[in-house]
Amino acid sequence: MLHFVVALPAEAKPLIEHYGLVRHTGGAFPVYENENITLIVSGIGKVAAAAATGYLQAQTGNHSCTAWLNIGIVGHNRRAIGDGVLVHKITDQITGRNWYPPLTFGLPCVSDDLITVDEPETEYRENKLYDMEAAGFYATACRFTTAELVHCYKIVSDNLATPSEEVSTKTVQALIEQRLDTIDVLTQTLQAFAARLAEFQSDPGELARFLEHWRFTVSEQHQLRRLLLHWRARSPKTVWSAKLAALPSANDALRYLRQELDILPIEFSKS
Amino acid sequence: MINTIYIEREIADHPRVRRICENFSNAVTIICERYGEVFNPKAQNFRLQKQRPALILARKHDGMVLKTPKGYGIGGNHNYYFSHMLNCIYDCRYCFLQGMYRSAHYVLFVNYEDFETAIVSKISEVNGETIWFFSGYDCDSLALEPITGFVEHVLPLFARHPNAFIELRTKSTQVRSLLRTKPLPNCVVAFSFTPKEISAALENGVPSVEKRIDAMVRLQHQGWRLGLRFDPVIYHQDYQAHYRRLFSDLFQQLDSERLHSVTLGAFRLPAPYHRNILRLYPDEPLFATTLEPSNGMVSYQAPIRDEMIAFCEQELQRYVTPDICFSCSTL
Repeated sequence: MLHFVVALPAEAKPLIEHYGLVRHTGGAFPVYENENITLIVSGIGKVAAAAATGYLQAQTGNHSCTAWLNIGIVGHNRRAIGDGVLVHKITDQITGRNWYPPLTFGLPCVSDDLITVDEPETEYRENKLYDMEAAGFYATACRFTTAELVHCYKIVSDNLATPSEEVSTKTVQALIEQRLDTIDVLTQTLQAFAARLAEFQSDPGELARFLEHWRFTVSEQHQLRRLLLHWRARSPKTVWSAKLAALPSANDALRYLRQELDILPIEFSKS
Repeated sequence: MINTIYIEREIADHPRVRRICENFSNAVTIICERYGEVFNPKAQNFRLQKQRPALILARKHDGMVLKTPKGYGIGGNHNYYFSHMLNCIYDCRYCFLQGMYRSAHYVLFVNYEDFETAIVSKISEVNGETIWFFSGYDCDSLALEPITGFVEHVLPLFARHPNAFIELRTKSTQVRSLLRTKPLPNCVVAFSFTPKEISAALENGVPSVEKRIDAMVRLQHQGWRLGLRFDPVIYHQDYQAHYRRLFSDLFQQLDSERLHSVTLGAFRLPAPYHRNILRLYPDEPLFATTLEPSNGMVSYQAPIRDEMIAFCEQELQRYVTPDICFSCSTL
């Protein structure tokens, strides 16, 4: 699963069309979705971005294995219009706080520092990207998942030669459309990371079967999950058998699992 | 190998930083204020980061040299450790670092001179008594030596202080700089081993047992004092046959009479680190066994622990005298 957070409808439009996202009716923010991707239009500013990120998390459920990608236009003093840049450092200009999205995959584009400002930047004093959302988005999204799954990809829309006043809605759409290939790569990479994390954290496949067959207390459910994880780590075979299924109680089933684990040889296969 | 380098602003112009960065000319370099901004945030996943760790170049401000935990040591009364690096380029599943740190990035402290000052200060406190410094607790002492040059930098200090001993603990074969150096009688190069079956399964990226033995032979041939570290000893089916063969392979090629020390310790982890690692690797057979808490640590049940250590001690007695064998008794 991947969530896009964008500030402007013009930034959202090419993504909505490219990924075939459908408008979700009602709600405090416009939300679009397909089976694997959700997009929210936050409006301008870091507070709006943080609010939209929190809103989307609440709307889509508390899944810690979801990737988050903030996409939008930025200014820079000398980068060319249309440059696509992954952000490797975010600074909130007002608070001075920094965040460093971990670059744990091969980059499909260049990366750079970004400063999130509260008012539109026209002088681009530092040789860095300027936006108005990333700090709010990143700080909030990192509350919901691990930082490796949270990134900002920005496309340069204005610089010293082309001030932001000259950037039209049409231009914004065109800039995003030109970078859809890179956005695709980022989306797939982050979704693969999210899927890997979900796999690490998944329940053992047989847990549901046990829970249907016997009535476990909460404490017994924790024990069951742990024992089944141990079994999964140590044996490719199913632990389920006619002998096990015939046991009368949850407590008997747990005892059986412990006994089976005790006699299972401790072996390590080449990683 | 290194694709991203974070550099603390304060040391961005340090000559050592410049030299290290020259080795990774294609890496993205990012200026940070303090390494903790990158290394310490909560929302990080060690397992995902370990796929592509970054290098963080930083300055260590305090706590350069610390007392070793109780039960660690090889016979000395004054035992200290220091870490010029945090984290290791290898990925050993049993390693406590993956439960101790939130980040898998490698932190290298480049103010080597401050480490030297702290070491000399500790040496001066013991009035000529023997004092030990262990350098491989939070990193591998030699694995990144071609990049860091730390050992090459610090050994002359020990040459000037013969009562101060240093242990370099490693699983690497990066011994070139040592082979270029005149052996020091107060430096012990200690190599860690598990049987090759365990190494293949649990020690990702570590040179083979054969290559490490070869590195040891070369060092011993040149006159370096060597140590053997069987810590952790890992319980598994056939562990006796595997450890017996490991010892045999080692002592067929090494001169056991010139060995400095041998240490043994059953697999164990501080309980909080064990909890963290379990969350990262619920699918790992190493942790899917009956481990039990004891004195704040988590380890095998006492009968298994005792049986393994007794077996290894007995086997080792075929090759080395008991006076150079030490057990890590933290449980």
